[in-house]
Amino acid sequence: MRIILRTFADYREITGTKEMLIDLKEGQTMGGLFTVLTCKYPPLRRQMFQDSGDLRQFVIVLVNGRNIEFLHGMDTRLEEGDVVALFPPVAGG
Amino acid sequence: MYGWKGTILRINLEKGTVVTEELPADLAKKYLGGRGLGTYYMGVEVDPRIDPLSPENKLIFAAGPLSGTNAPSAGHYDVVTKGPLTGTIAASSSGGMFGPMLKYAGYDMIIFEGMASRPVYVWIMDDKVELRDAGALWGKTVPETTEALREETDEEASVACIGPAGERLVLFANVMNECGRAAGRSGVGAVMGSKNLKAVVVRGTGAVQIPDPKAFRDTVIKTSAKIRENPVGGSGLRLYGTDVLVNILNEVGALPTRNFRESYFPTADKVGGETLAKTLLTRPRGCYSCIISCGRASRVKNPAYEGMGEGPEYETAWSLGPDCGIDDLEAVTKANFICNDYGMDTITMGSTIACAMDLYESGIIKAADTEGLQLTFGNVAAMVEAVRKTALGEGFGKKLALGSYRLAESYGHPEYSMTVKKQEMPAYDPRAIQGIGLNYATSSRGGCHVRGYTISPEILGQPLSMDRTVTEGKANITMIFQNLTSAIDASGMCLFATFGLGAEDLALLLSAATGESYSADAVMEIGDRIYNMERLFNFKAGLSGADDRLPERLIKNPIPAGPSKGMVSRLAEMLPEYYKLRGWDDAGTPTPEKLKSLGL
Repeated sequence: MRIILRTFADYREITGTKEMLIDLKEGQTMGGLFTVLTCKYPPLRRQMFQDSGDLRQFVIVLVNGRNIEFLHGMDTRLEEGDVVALFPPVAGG
Repeated sequence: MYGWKGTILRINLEKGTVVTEELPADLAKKYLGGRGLGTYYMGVEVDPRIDPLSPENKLIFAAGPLSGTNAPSAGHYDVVTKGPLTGTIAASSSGGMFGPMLKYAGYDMIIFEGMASRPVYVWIMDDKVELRDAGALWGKTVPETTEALREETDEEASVACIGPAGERLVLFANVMNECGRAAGRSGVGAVMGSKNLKAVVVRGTGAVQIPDPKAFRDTVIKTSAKIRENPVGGSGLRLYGTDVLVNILNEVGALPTRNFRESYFPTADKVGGETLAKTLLTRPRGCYSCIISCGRASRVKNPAYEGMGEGPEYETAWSLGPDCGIDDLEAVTKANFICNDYGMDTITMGSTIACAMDLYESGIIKAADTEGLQLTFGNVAAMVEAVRKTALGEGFGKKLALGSYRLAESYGHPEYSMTVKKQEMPAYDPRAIQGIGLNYATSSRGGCHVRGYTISPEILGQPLSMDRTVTEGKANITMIFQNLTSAIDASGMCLFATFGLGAEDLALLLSAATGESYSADAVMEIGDRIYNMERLFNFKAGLSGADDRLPERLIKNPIPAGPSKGMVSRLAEMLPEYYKLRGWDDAGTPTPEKLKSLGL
């Protein structure tokens, strides 16, 4: 299956692109996607994750506009055509 | 007094008199300053039923006890008055240098009364206060006025002034200081214009007295470190500015698009902070004592939109951008510069144009009404021209100068206006983010995000994460954010300091600066007191709980597409609980018991 990945702010500087298509095995989870991503872009691991493997504070991961914290976290299953968006801590007003 | 200067300056513009008064210590402790103390004086001295643009209205410039100290981001002051856009109390906060300079000159607050018979400005140099002729400045833009007044007075002076929009009583005119910083909502600049007051120029050479400088310094170091260690306060805002929010709000499907018809704009990234940082940004800019530096100094080189100045902030990039169906960052920035130079609120300006575009596309406004201006969504040139016409008071611009509610109402369709209490809502769709809708509806100055920024927990996960799609827990968090924000505004600190600091930290800073003893609970109670005091003012002005509502479009029309497709605001689920938590009755009226508990 193929998902769409969008990166923003500092993460965009790491991936060098706003959007990319990523092929994954059927039934892959967010955790699986991150394994692929941090392998391809090692600086993402340090920027997004603590040594414990948990996401850093205030990092935002969306699947189709929903924060994975309110889905199933790293166990959130991805489906064909899903849009995953990654944001470092941001704010404004 | 420590922290406070203990002196209020009262200037009667009609009589030309200037007197100083002692700031009562008990009032200072109870209301702090800024929005708190300013609203207290408005409530005591002004009949809330008056016409906001009449001489009976008063205009208060109020710093807080932390303004001008070394506390982090403590450069704020508030302009407090009855707002002409909303008919409610209006307290509009601004950073820059004006608040600290007012303190250094020896004052916590200036109260302007009456109306001058001709244009004047006030020159304050410590204890010397003069009303001077401003005839030659009338009609000048904000940068022209600022430059001329610094030349005429002191190069180091801080200038808070109105532009031509304030002179012409545009209902969303700003008070601008340091050219690019704005007390920018609810039309406080129109009140200044109605008084023939062009500018307040201040130069102070004194200092803010602190009871134990070393203890205060230690508190400042600790609290500053907390902001620096916060990934947002420490670096995120400096790198990308507030405009970084464009993409995240769009990705969750909460970026109001084409006058809130939709909430997702496919090319939003073109006006986002990442694009701004790579194209027009020349450098980040910070206010007095700021370690965040969210301000954007920008320059557009394209001859079609050439200019330089401050912005755009997130709300501006949205209102003049996606809300008008526009993704041209250069045009948006140019329109922002015009708003700054003429002194107009970018949120209301953009939203009013979006409303006009909606009415135009619906066949309600005709080309004959607009001098041929094709006000269709996405028409970049028309958007910039509409801003220019409003700034110069030309033709259809005079109608836009009334804001979207009065514009839409004049055509018999107020439902096209995306306002609460006649003030335009900012850049977060309440259908997609439930709590912010409750905050808009109950905001004491109408549609406003900086009364209770629930976007922090609902979208940004700070300081805790809440599901944006549910209504549970939103009444409580909205009330907490509204109360904390009221206290921050009264203290003289910037709201952005809360990206790192909480009520406990504010209490420590206030205690160390003033020598009084504040706890976190006491700080929150001060915020609660201010919020209720504002509510009382509004109710006496003729508003009621029935005004705590959102436009029907957001209640009845589900979001048509995008990540939040199908959602509507479920305000009715939250409002009763909110009233109960506030200690208000079922109709939203503060109960006598509640008021007594707050000493009101």
